[in-house]
Amino acid sequence: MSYLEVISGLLSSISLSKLLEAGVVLALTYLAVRFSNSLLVSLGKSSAKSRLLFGTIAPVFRFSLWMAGAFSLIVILAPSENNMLALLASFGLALGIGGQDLVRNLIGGLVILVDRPYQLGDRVKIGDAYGEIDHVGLRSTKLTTPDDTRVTIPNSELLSQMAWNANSGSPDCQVVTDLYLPTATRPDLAIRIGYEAAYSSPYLLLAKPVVVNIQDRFTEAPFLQVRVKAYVFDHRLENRFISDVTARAKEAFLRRRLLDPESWASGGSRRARESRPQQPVIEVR
Amino acid sequence: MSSAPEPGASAGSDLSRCWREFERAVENSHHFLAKEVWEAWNEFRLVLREESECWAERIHTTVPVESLEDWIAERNRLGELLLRSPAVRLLRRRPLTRILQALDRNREELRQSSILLPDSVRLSGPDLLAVIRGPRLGGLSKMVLLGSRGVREVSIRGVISSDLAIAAEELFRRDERLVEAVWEVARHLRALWDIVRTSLDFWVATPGQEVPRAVGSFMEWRRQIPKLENGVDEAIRAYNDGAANLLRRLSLRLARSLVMPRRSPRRGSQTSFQAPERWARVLRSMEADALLELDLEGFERQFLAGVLGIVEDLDRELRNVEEDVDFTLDWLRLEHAALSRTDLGEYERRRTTVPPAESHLRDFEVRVERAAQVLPDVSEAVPRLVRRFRTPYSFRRLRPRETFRECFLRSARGKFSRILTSEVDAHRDLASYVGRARMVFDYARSSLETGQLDAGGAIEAVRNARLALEFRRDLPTERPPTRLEMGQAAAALLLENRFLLRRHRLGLMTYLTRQGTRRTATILIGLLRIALERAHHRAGWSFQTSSSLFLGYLGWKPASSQGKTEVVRRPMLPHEFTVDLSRKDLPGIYRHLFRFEPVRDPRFLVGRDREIRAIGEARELWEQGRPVSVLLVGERGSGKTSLINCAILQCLQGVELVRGEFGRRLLTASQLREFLAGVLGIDDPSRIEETLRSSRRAVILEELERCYLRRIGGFGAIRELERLISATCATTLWILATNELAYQVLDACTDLGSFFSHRIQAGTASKEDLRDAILLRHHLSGLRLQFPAATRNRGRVGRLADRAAGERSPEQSFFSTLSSESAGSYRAAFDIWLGQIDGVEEGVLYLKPIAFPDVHLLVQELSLEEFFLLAAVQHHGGLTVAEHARTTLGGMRESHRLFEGLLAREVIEPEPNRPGFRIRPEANRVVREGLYRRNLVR
Repeated sequence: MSYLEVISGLLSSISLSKLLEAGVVLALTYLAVRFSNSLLVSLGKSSAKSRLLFGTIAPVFRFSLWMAGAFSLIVILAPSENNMLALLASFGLALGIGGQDLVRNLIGGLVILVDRPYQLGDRVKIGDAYGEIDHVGLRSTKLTTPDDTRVTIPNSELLSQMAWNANSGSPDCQVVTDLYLPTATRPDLAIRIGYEAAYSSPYLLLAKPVVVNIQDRFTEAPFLQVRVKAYVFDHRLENRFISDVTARAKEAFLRRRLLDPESWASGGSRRARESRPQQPVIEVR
Repeated sequence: MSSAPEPGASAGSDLSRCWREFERAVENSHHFLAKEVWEAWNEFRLVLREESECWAERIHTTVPVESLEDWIAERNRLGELLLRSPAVRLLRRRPLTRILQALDRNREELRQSSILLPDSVRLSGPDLLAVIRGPRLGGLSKMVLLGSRGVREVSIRGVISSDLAIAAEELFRRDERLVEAVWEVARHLRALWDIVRTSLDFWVATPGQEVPRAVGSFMEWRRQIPKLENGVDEAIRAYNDGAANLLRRLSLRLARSLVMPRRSPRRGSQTSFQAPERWARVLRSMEADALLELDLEGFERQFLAGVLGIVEDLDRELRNVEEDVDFTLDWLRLEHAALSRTDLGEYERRRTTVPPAESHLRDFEVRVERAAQVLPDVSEAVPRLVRRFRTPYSFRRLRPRETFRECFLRSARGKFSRILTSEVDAHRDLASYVGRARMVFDYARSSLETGQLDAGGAIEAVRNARLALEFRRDLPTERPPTRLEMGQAAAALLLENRFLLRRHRLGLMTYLTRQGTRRTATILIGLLRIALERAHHRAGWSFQTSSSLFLGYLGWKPASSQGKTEVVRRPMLPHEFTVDLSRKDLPGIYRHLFRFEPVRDPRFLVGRDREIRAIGEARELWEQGRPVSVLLVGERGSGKTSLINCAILQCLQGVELVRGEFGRRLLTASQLREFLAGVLGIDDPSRIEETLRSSRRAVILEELERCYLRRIGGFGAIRELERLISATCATTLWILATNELAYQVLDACTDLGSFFSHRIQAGTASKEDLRDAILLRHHLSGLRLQFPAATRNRGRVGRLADRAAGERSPEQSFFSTLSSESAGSYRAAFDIWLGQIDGVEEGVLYLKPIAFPDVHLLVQELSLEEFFLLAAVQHHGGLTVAEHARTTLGGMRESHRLFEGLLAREVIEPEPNRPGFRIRPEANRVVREGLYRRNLVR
């Protein structure tokens, strides 16, 4: 059966009413997908846990709806078996020539739905991109980076790349904050301040442990690295937590003169810096 | 009647006599009916002619309709002339009733006539021929009878009475033309009034448009009269012929019964006399229809009187305002004298009140409703009498009053409202000029008195005001006269109402058929035009809206903010949570029993046996010399203090007790030592360990959450306390109490739990414990209790849940809800209980159902920073603004802002007897739900 015969066979089986029906089905499917998406998003807004739960459901729902729509289209257009086979063969050939990437992406999308290396709302690192997954589609996955930039990654890329998932479907995730001190700093004091900075942060998830490690490092000069590992109750607050812990710890370091105030107060004239009153020292026991 | 059969001539002569009487009776009954119909027709004809002559004389001398009053007066006059007076005359003579009565009489006489005949008679064919006389029978029948010479018994009455009913039924069916003719006449009688009225109304409703030609319609109407006369004459003649044929049919039937005696009587004889009943119903409907026409005319008369009344009210109002204008102008003309005189005093202030248009509209609606009462609620009508394919007549039930109300609300109320609003606005505008002029005058005079304005300025101001008022008074109005508009709206309403009634009476298809092809086409085109206009209007509006939205989407046009008003309300704590006991009329003992204080009497401690036992066990171990310390953890309001009070009385008796609570925030070790020294009653804080080791005692400290601040360097005091507990727990029985969230922080941060041998989690109370605690107190009040009916869940899911839970008593239902709403806190449960008291009457305490306020909006509105603040307040038991500022990086200003926001939302309140703020007990549920949703608590 030639290509022309397939086309003419298909055209002869398609009437205006069938086309109209198909249009209506497509429109209804599109509306149903939009509606289900917005419904699930609004349901997920009520709490942090539900956001991830409904985020997991959303792509499956969307995929199912599109599949149902496609099936309805086939039923409406009802091509003959020969036409269908010929069409699929032609479609396969056309894809083989020009749309390999698209097919690969679609297969990647199906693999993601089944394998679930991440789900909607997870905080992941894929290749050079790091951020929160906000769309898992059949063709691509989209994430938003902490600086509010949207990154679209074709699903085919995901099949061959490693994906780091920070929270795996849970709202909380571990956050690592590095603090840097002169190498001569008292280690116990550095560790205590690291702990208290983490525990003082309102973003901390109290139910999970806090770990503070120190290590002497050298890049251009020697320094003491204090690494605070703690969990935040919502991974969206990761950067705020890092900022909060850093600010608290730094303030404590400065009060205890573990850091040079001159390097902290970089702005202003030398006289102004010298005239600044000394911070009171609070002894931590 | 039964008579013995007599053979021969004597039987024949008796039968002959009876037969003659029977014939006379049947003929008389038919003649009487025909005579009554004829007389009724004559009545109608007389009226028709009079109407025709009367209208023919006046048609060219009709008063031209130039005003509302003219129209109403002309309408009333013609209604009286063309409908009311003929109808009254006809109703007085009651032609239709007389026909009805004649029908009844005819039916009864036909029934009775068969009694005149003998039951059965023995006779031969020639005898019977002699009785029924030859001319009524055909030649063949005569020959057959002459040939039947044998004497036979004939059941005369049975044959005649069964056949008489059938024959009469057929006669009535065949001669329905008679009724149809009467119906047509009656309809025609109303038609002239309908023509005239429609013409008049159309004239008023659509000024400037071509009015249906009344003269032409009248001529057409008059041409119909002779046709009607012919129709009725023919119908009566046909009826009389039918009546004559009836006797012939009966004779023939009798002859057949003699010749073929075995033939069974005809079926259906028992279902006879249905046609006259149907006639009677038709005539009654005609009468009702005529009365409806009269009612309709009366209603229209009253309705128009209402319209006129409203118009006169508006005129009166306008006259008052104009008088006010003239009065004010007169006053202002004397401005020189008025302003120069100091003893002037207040001039008489005429204040014409201009009520709002809604008030006039309400008044008008009352009048309209009063007029509508004239219309019957239900009326029956016959749409048509010409039956097709022998289908039964269809009787239509009309609802004239409802039809009018619908018509008024759908199309007229808005029009009247607009007209009234426009008129009232004009009155108000005029009145506002008066007010403005008075204001200028008052201002000028007061300024003159205070010296702010000189006499020249004041006089000029007053003159300007007077000129403005004169200008406004003389300003020609651009609006069409209200009377005209009111008349148009009223005429259009009456036309539409009659159109609808007529359509209901006839049915849509019949109505259109009656209108004729051209008229039907006009109506359909009119309807189509209206539909198209509406569609065009809507399409235009939709296009405009969608195009502006699209342009806005493209960024070519800013989004329209015209007419957009929005009121955004800050969500606050729902008022259902707030319990104001001062406003409740509760018995004194009830207030005492449910006071918000920790329990001191162990009888009132409910559901804490396990905890009391744990404290007793700790004491035993401690007395054995084991290092023991107890930490009591529980939500606020869960009864920690009550538990300690009762433990002291029950299981700590005989132990030296030192009791205290952290009243202020402690941050450092030295602060803690000073505090403990105070509690132990020693001067030197460095001697605390020595003192504690010197003797065995129990130290009870509450509000441990005030012993730290969640910031770097804020855990010094708690760490020092932990060290002291470790160092002295062999001799000192430490019993500390803290809230759940503070324990979570301290345990995570300083490993607090590991310093205690016993940790008692005084968690939330069960539903049974709450019920027992409440009912224990309630029963002591001596009051009886009346629970509200069990509340049902809303929605399908809720109903399913109800069904799954099965039937519950009101008490079970109430406590179940109370338990879930209070989250197991005694304090919250008592709050809710007291809040739900509806009243106390005659020793019975009535409760109302627990409300389910929606807290979703408030929870959604609170920001993350506000939740952090609420969590911090819960962690610390209470916080001052300065303390909060030290726990965050935002500074004092930011903390102040957050505290003030939450105070305004009624979520937090100042702590009693302490500096700082705490979460309001009523808001605990909201805060808990919010923190949970944000994943801040588990």
